[in-house]
Order: sequence, then C-alpha cells, then structure tokens
Amino acid sequence: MKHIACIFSLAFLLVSSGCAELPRLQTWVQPYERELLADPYMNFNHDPITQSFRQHVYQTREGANVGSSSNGGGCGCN
Amino acid sequence: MLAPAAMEVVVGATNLGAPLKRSLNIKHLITCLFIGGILSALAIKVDAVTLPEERTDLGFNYYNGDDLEVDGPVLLVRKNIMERYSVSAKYKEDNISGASVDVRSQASAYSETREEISLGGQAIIDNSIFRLSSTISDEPDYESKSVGIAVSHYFLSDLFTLNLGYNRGWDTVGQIDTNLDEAIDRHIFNLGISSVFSKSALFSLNYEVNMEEGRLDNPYRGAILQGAHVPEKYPDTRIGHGLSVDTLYYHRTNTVSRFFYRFFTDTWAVSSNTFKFTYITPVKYIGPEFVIESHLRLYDQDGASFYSDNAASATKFIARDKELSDFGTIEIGAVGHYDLEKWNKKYFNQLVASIGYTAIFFEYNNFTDLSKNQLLNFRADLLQIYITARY
Repeated sequence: MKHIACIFSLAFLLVSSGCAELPRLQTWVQPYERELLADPYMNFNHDPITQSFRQHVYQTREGANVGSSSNGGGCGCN
Repeated sequence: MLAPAAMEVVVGATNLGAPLKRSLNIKHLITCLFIGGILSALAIKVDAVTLPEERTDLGFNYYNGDDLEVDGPVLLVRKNIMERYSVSAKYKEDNISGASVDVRSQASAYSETREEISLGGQAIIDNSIFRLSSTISDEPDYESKSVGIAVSHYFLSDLFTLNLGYNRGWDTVGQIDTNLDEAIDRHIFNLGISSVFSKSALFSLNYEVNMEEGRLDNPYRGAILQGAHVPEKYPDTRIGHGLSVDTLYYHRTNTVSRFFYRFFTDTWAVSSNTFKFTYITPVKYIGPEFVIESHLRLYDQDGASFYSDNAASATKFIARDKELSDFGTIEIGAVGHYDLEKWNKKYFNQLVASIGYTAIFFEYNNFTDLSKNQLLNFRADLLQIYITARY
C-alpha cells in the first residue's frame, strides 16, 4: 500500500514538474485543427447516466469489477 | 479440491491483510497529490482547459435477469459557477424484487430499496482540474460511503492529459433480522493518461489498483461441500489490478467508433478480459437529429482459486458465488438519442430524449442451478429512458 501510494505520488510529481518543458516541443494537432475532437460524442464520458447504470450491473454481476464508488450489497445485488 | 498453485494464491491473499493497515499513510498520499497539483498548476501558462458540460439528466432504469427485477429513477444535475468551478449532484433509486439463483436455493424471495446520493465538485486551477466527490449508498442490510479526490493535468498544448485519482470507501455489511454489523475498507488508486492521437482520434490508457479488506463474502450465501450446504469462507483482503485502453475515432462519414479493452487480475486468482466496440451514427432516414449508439461487449472470466460448485474436500477458504466462477457474457445494445429541437427554449441549448436497450447473455461454466440441476445461463434485459437538457 505504501509503495503504491509513493509510486502514484512520485509519478505525478515527476510528470507535472517535467511538463514545463513540454510546450516547447512541436505539437502535431494545433488547437484550430480540433473541430472533430470537439464533437460531444468524442468524449469518453459523454453519457454518464448510461455508463453509471451499466457499471453498476457489471459491478454486481462480474468478479472483475469490484469496489466502485457506488457499492451495494445485500442479497439482491449479489 | 484446490490445486497447489491455487492454494498458494489463497494463502498469499490472507497474508496481505496485516501490512495493509500498518503501512497505510493516507495523509502522506493526499499531501503529495496536493503538492503535485500545485506544482503542476504553476508549471505552465493557462491553456484552454474546460469544465464538463452543464447538463441535467432525468431518467428511469430497468433491469430484469435471473428472476430478479431492479427499477428506479435517476437524476443528475451539473452546473458551472464562474467558469472555473463545477458542482454536480446525483440521486439514484433501485427498487429490487425477486429471487435470484442464490436466493432460490438458500432463502426466500424478497424486495428492498437502495438509494444512492452523489455530490461532486470540480475546480480549474491553471491547466489542471481538481475533483472532489462523495457517494452514499443505503439499503436495509448494506451501507456504503466513499470519498474521492482526483486531478487531471493538461500539458503539451492540451495534447496530453494526466489523470490521477484516489477513492476511499467504507462499507457496512448487515443481515436482515440479525445484529450483523461488519465493515469493509476500500482503497482505489487510478493512474491514466489520455492523448490527442490525431485530428480525429483520441487515446486513453488507464491503470487501477483496488484494495478491499473486511467482510468480503455475502452473509446470505453458502457454499456446498460434498453435497451439503456450509457457510462461505473468504480471505479478509483482496487486491485487484486493472489495465485498460480506450480509443475514439471520428470518421469522415460523421460517425464515431470506439474500442475498449480491459484486463483484470487479483490476489484471488480472478482474471478477466473485456472487449467492447461501440459505433455511433446519425440515422439518415430519420434525420441528423436522431443518433443511434450501438455496442457489442464480450467478457470472459477465470474464477477465484477457492471457488467450487461442489467442493470435494474441506479447504481453508470456500466460495460458491457465481460472480467468482468461470463464466462469460455476450452483450449487445443500442441507445437512441433524439434531439428535440422544437422544444429547445431559451433556458437550455439542447434537449435530447434517449431510450436504450441492452441484452446480456450470461453463460456459466462451473455454476449449477440447483433448481434445474444444470449449468446456469440466462439473459438479462436492461432498459433506460431518460431526457437530457444541456444549458
């Protein structure tokens, strides 16, 4: 647990502090070229209602989806 | 009977509990996250970091599978404040009734209600977004509370986003008509990076560590040992690792395709592969205001080392939870979104009505439905109807 916490913290510190140099690199997609990327469906979470509903089903029916932020228990959900 | 390799996994799982509490230093982690966030926020000039869209969703969910019905309303409200802050609230209710296969063999039919309330807040600090969230889920025999902190840091002209998150959960396990009151502690770490791959493609890579400690079995369920019902016995701890990739691609035909893959493994020897393909397209015959989102999902799981349909001999741990067995699912579904342009008012930019149906086919390889004396398989139907207002 301690190791994982340290790894996560260090990764964030290293990447965030190193980011100051990155804007000097050339970007391959300019901001004015991102029209398609701005489409509402080009969003990994464009439909939160559907995603949360399905995720709760997976969490209660599959062994590999444990411990989300909306746990339920009892006989019904198991 | 457990294989020797499986026994090693089980013993390993039990030894993980002791150091879990001792080495836990949450203050250290949160402090580092905040320091990292502040440093990153100061590192670069402001870029176009935006908050999630303002929206309100009101809908109804319905699930029916294996003689179990779950239905109820859901409401999500998200509002921005001063273009730098965003707050959200969600309410969900599940009315559960019926008798699943576990209940049919060991208990009687029942009905209950689960309520879930989530609150969240986000703030832009230069080119980072900080998130706080809290969720409470309550039902007669189970209570779950969680708080989460996360940060998304945009860099290299917003071509990359680094995501870090930590979620802490406290569950209370109860049992109707008894004084059972036992706890589960949860820790979830998320580390991910998403990228603008091209002018029309996005890519995301995510890693998750999930730790649970406490009463992890279900007090209502039992196992079977040499044909006789016996109480289940689980390890006290479980640590899972999930790695996933997610891609979005915008085609010239104004359609979007999405591919998702996730691998999961844990200290109980559960492992799984998940594939999902989604295709989003306007329906030309009806008009550009109607968009249909269809998907195919495949899930395959290898069960826990201490799972047994009917154990031949006594072991330290034993389970007969079908979610820990060997099984697979095939899922197909579609959601239709209809833009109600005529109904748009000055109070919101867009009003969309959506209806979705999903069928999930479960097929178990080593879980027997004792009422039929055959391996269990069933179809679950999911139905959603909701309306979304963007403003």
